[in-house]
Amino acid sequence: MAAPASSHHRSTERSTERSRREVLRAVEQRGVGTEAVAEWTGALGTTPKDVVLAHGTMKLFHYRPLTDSVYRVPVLIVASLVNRSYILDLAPGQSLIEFLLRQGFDVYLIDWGVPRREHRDTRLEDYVLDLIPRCVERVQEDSGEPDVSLLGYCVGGLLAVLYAALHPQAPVKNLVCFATPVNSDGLVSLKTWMSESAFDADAMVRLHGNVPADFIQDTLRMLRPFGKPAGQLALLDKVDDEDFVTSNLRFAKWESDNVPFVGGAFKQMVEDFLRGNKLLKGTWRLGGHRIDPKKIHAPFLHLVAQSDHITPYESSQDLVKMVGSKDKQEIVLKGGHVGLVAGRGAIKQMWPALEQWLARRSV
Amino acid sequence: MSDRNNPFDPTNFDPFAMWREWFGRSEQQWSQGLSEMLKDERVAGSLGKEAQKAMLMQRMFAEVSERYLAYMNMPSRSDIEKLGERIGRLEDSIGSLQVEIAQLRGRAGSPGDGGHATPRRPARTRKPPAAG
Repeated sequence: MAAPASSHHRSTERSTERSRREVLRAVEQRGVGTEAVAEWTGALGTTPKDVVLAHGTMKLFHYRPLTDSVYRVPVLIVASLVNRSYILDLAPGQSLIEFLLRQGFDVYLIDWGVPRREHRDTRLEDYVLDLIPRCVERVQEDSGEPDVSLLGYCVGGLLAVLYAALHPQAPVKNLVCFATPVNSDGLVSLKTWMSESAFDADAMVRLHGNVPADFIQDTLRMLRPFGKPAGQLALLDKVDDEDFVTSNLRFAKWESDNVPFVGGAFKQMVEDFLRGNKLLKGTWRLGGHRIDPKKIHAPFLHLVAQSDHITPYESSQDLVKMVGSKDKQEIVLKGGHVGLVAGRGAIKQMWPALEQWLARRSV
Repeated sequence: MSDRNNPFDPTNFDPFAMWREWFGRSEQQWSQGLSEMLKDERVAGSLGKEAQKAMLMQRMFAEVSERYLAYMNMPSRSDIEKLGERIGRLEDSIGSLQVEIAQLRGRAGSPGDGGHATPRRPARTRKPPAAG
């Protein structure tokens, strides 16, 4: 019996060594984020799901339950507008969605898709006053339950807040936001770069229709200019830690996979949110209605990351104070913007904290 | 015992690893320094103007190269983009059809199931684990 075991061991070692060399070669020669490395990570976002509503590029997914019984209240996740939604479902073992399913939640997700030039005039009103309400209705119909728990990450969290504030009677049982900015004074770099004197948002939208994904990616990278090369070098140091490398390459693949920002909503975000800081000032209006987060009374949880350079704490800390909920909480966790939802820290800290908070409120 | 992750360990001397270690440690300071500089309104303003110029230049260059590519019977970037948009529209249509088929199947299989294709739904009776 010893021989096969030892030969199996040798073959595993050889295969690990081969993988290591492949990664090294790819990272050193081409840099992280290339197709070669992306292929190495395998397919992402593969938890089985069904499309239960489609409208234009938007799709509402229902993930197939993984437990015999589920909590009564379904969970509806609102994805961000500028990133692919699979950050919440990277790979087995590194997927918030898979974790929620295993804990017995019934999970739906709104994926906004990739906008085309014909969508350049889409505005925040279209998301907040039309598409999210449609999805909530569809979840009610599909699950047979009258209310939903709404979860949103980054700009998705902002959309969820805008929806809940503009629909005080909406069937929102719980509202959970991850790293959601509400105070543009805390987004110092973005606010300066997008100021009227530095950036012509109209010209950008006139020229491109939607804001190109490359521009979004470059802007986000400039928030930590040397972060990418430092990450690549750190990867070389841990090249014999296969889990670390694979997980890191999955992040790299996702980070290089931004989607264009629809022109209309981008202009509103620049003019009203960033420059005007209208949400914090209480002067932001959508569809003629003033947005007042005080009208949100559902139990509220905000999970934020301590070292978030994309949504710094200064830009997100006011949200918990702004909502009108009596049952509200903010949890600050170690890590960065992406690590908050899908890193090793997320698996150990954020996911269990979310489960503990949400389970009690989902019956 | 040597620590293979420590580049300063004499049994594991690796100048490139030392350089990586130094780069990693300095990165935050550099990023912070450069970010501080970029936060300056004058710097941001001039960068913004340069970016604007670059956008226009790119546009002009794209228009010129499009004519050359057409002359050589080759597709341009905008042709590929248009093709991508057509595929996107087809994907959207397929998405809508998928939903309709799933709803029809759901209605045929189990009435009152909200028109969903999944054959069996778990009971919505789960309770949170008792607090320890």
